[in-house]
Amino acid sequence: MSALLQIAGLSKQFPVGGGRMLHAVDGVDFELKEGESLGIVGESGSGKSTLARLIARLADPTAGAVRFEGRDIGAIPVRKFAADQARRDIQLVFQSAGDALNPAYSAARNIAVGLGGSRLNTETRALVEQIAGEVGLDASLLDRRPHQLSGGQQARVGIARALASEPRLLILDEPTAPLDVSVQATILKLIDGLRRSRRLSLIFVSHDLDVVRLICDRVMVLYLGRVAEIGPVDQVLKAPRHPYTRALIDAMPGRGKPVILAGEATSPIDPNVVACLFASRCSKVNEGCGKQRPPLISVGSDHQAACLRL
Amino acid sequence: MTDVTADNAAMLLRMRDLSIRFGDSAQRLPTVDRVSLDIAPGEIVALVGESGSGKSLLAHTIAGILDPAAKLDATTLDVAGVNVLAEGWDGLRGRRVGIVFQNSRAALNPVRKIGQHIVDVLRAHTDGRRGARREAAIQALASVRIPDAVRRFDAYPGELSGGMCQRVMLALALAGNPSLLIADEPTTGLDVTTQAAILALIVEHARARGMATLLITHDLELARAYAERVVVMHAGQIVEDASVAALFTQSHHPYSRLLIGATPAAIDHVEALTGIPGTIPALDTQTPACRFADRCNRVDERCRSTFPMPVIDANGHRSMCWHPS
Repeated sequence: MSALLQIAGLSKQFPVGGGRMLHAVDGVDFELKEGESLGIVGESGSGKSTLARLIARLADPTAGAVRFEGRDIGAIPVRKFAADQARRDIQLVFQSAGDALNPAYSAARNIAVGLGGSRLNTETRALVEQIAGEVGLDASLLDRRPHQLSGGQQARVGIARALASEPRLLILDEPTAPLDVSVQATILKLIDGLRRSRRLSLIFVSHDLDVVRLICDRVMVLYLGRVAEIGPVDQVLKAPRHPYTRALIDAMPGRGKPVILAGEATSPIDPNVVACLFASRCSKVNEGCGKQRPPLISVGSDHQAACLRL
Repeated sequence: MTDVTADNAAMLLRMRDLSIRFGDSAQRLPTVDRVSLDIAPGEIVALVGESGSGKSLLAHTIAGILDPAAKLDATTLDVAGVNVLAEGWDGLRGRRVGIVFQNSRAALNPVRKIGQHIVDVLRAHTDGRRGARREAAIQALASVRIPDAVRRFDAYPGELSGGMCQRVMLALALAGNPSLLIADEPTTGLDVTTQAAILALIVEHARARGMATLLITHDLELARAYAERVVVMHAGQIVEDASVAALFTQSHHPYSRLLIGATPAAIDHVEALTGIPGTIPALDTQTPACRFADRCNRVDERCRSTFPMPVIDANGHRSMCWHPS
């Protein structure tokens, strides 16, 4: 497998007034191989969604490269990217499917948007029906508006729209967050099945490590916009190396006594660039953590962590 | 139905055959149907089920927050030792019963300081001077581990994170020293780290003061980790009521089995995940059938013609199914 996507030094800063900058994504590096699925986990505010939007090229990075098949698409301004071939190759499935669909369009027209227009003719209608069948959406639902569909059906329309342009990389931003477990189970199976049948590469943003374990080959743990740990999902879950990953795993229900993270998260606004950002909540902190940004270092086969106290 | 426990007097919740109806149509089935439930002091009971199963409606009813259009009917409803069917909920809410809602930021007044929210509760339910109430409010904030409580007293809800708002909500619910806490999806939408902290606080208060807790959640893994007993609701009915150990190792009702099979934490491979066929039935037609019949793989003629009666085994494990496993 060759690298389909190479992310290098990717950063996104947002001005928050008074010349201050919020560092949402801060120097992220990783590679995604063809056919691979990578989970991105972290708390709210860790930059998961911003990173997803940068890779999907819905936002312009402040610095760094987004190389898709070797071409730096990060340098193409968002406005021009819509016309680029890579737009069709990289598709994003949004968190709240219901909000991300056009409420005035039928399900069929919403899916047709992914084909490049929302007008339906005999040919596009046939294509839409075929994709709808593939995502388990009954053809009788295609003339309904989004508000006439259940949450699970809306999620299927969102996935169908993303599939319409025959993408190679599908980025899913918490696609099952608002759904019941019973519906979530069917959507997760659908995503896994599509991944195999269409040989898709996946980036799966989630706050649920159990879901990531079921769907992904590798997992990346983000903390305040930086990679804390990245590696094979089984290895990271069984033997986490970063104290933050450890805390996330221990906080999952039923994992024995959760370690309650003490302290408060450091502000992502103009953070100290020569300190570990997790130091304020870390159980293993010592003096050195305040003096140096921990680099991402290899801790095993294809497994890296950014901690000075490994 | 039979009493589940011997010592009824000590129960902080005693409910027998509670039904809630909307509208006058005789055709329409009750939205909550003949529900019976006891909770002992210090016990944490999880109420689980899909959206639309009636779990929030039931929880709000216990707390005395009932839609004016709803018609309540029960043979017994004792909440924190008060027969509310006769005496009503006045004097109970905010004092003997606390409630935590799902979206805490929406439940707080955005233009009122968080400390003032707590002072309001204390003023309504306790005597004492203004200065003493401020002190008590700061104490209440500190007791739910809000860092820097003195400074946070003067913060507005919009200045706090979702997790901090939920802690404030919990402090409000606990300020009246309730003997029964209703926690309605208290951690939905929060990070796992915050979820763990909030639930640890609830467990701590349950243990320390013998507070009974009804934890409403759609997450079975959460129920397994934090509750002692799990009550499973489907389409307004309790279909199973068992200890955590019994439910997860030998559940009787097919719906409970399916819910467990849909929970990612309980599964090794994505292929093993199972969805639940169909949806919760519309309750608009009178029928003698089991409400789960159309979604069930064990269904037969009897399920469609006769309603399953609750069966209770020697361990108090209760289920409503003609074909229990």
